[in-house]
Amino acid sequence: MKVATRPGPPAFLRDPRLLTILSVVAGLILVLIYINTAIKFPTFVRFFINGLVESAVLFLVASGLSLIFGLMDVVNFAHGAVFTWGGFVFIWSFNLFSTSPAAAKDKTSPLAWMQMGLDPLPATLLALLIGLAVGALLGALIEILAIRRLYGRPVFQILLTLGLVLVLDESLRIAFSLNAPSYDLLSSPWPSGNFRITPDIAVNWKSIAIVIVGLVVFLSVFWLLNRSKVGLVIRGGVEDTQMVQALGYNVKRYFFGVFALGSALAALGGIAFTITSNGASEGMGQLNLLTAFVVVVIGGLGSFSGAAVGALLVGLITPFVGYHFQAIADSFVMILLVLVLLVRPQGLFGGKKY
Amino acid sequence: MINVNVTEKGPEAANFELSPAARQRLDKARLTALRPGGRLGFTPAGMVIAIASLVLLVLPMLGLAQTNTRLISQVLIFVAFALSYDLLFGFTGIFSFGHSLFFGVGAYSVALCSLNLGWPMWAGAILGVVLCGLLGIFTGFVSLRVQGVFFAMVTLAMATTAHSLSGRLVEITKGDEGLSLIQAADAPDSTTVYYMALILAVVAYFGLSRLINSPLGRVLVSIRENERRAEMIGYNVLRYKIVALAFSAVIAGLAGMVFAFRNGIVNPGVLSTDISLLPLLMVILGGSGTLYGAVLGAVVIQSLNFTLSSREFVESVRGWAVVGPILEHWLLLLGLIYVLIVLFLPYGIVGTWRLHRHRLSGFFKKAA
Repeated sequence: MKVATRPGPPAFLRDPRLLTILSVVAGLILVLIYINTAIKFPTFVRFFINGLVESAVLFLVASGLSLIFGLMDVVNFAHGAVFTWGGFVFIWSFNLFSTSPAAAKDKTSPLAWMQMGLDPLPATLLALLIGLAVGALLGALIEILAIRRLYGRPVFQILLTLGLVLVLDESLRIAFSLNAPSYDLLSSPWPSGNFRITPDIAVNWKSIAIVIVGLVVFLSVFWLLNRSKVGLVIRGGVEDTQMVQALGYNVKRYFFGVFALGSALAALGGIAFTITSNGASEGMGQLNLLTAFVVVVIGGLGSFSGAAVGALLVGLITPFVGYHFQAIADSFVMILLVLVLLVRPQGLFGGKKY
Repeated sequence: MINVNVTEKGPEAANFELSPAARQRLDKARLTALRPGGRLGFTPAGMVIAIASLVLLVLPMLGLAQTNTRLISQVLIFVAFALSYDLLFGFTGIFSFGHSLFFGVGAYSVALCSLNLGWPMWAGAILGVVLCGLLGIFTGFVSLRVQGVFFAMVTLAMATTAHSLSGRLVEITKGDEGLSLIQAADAPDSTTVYYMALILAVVAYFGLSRLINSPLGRVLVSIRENERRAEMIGYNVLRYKIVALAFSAVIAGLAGMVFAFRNGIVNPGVLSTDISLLPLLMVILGGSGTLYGAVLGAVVIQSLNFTLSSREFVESVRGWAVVGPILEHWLLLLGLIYVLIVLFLPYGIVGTWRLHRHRLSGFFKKAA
């Protein structure tokens, strides 16, 4: 007996993998046409590399958000504030570490030991550790004091984390006694110098480092979530908390860990952002947070690799849009968000129904 | 006992930690907003508000300092704004995060029509009302297909886009510098603005009260309570939500216009996220789903804002230990108020009162 079906494309065309491959191929063809007509090749490569670095920074923020928002369904606006805190703490400790003891103004302060006069590279690594620790600590505090009572209540999470944004931003202003809107690095955190691909095209060493960090974070978190026992417990806990709890795992503690990890990743994103732009500003957190939300939604909630693909897409397209249409450069990401939510609300790789 | 509860979703999720009896009480408390006697809003709370507005009506005739006139008009503007938000959030259950879009469009339409086109104020105001209504319908049409957090994010995206455009289109809006309405010939003086704000707030209160107690309003509340069921009964939920959004947009736009007159200047700040956050906080603090809750929240938040960010207050707390530095920074304080309200007063002042009222009456009965 023949069952009546809705008319539509044949089954093989509805396979999401095939669709993805087809759209990537179509995108590549479009890019080739674009290079041939609109822009010179070295310019294109420069934009592309800038876009890659931007994607890496964006991915670091979005990866934390993908864990917190995509996986655990917690709408965390304080993520951006943690990002800003990470960047500021990084700059502060980097500046302290690279001040030589002889040049120190106040030798009696309790932080005098930090003024070791280190070279840029070890100072960066130490400051990175401090920034990450502060990020994780802030995340842990937010989880313990607030989010823990509000799992499953998105409206209250939004309100509460917005209140936290006000508190964190204002305390940042007090802690770093900000009068000027920006806060800069004393010296460049990386040895200057470029890596030349061809005589025309040079890449900054710090760009390469940031892209590598992005890749490492992607691989390690992917492994943690999908190939390790811990990841199994977390994914199971999201699906059915009570069942996993009944099997003897303390799901609460695992969620706490995920939240702290996500916040540390936000701080890492902030640090990467300050390194690329040689300074930090108060508003950078909120700006990057909105973009990261878009990235997570484009990639699909709950899909970690989706967040990576979304970050690549947004990061690579934005410089070109900014180059051609300056008026909508700021709002491009927002337009993208609206389009994605209207056409495919579950995102590219999302299995969840919005 | 398992406390973490991630999988529970839907309208019930908001009060899952309450006992069944408490939940029943809360439902009953929320639904008493619909009372046949309150068709025109002349419930006890409505009477209080009517008397208060009469007092406010005669106040300027008894002589009122100009600073106080401006102060009260700002409170009244935000009362109307919070009421418009309550229609969406409290009664229809739509969580918008970009309400500043309508507020800002209202403000900008008056300023742009009068300064760039040379229109009289009333023409700009009419255009603004029409524009806000259409914008509400458009926004609803585009973004109400997605729900919950995602609707909030789409509206946030729209408001952010409008905010960045208003800063970018320097030739039209003069960018961050803003448009000064004081230059306009027919700019109203502060007493006129006061009466405009008063009329707006009173009409918004009693008009919304009438709306909510009409068949339309009951459908909106049924959508809040259980959207699926309302759809199954046969109501076109999307259309009703769009109507609610359009009404709310018009009132918010009017509030934005009076705000523009009151400040005498319109800059991209009227479209910022901070403006979207204020009515949300007011409605949550007062108690969502009750009109007088929104009024209460707006009055409390605005008076806190005025007293706590005033120079006298900041100077008086400067010397205090520990709390001094916190009290000095209004934004820090506002953030803490937010967090404390969400954690300890999630149903607002009115909701909490209704939840615990029986204890009080029990106590009095025991005493007697």
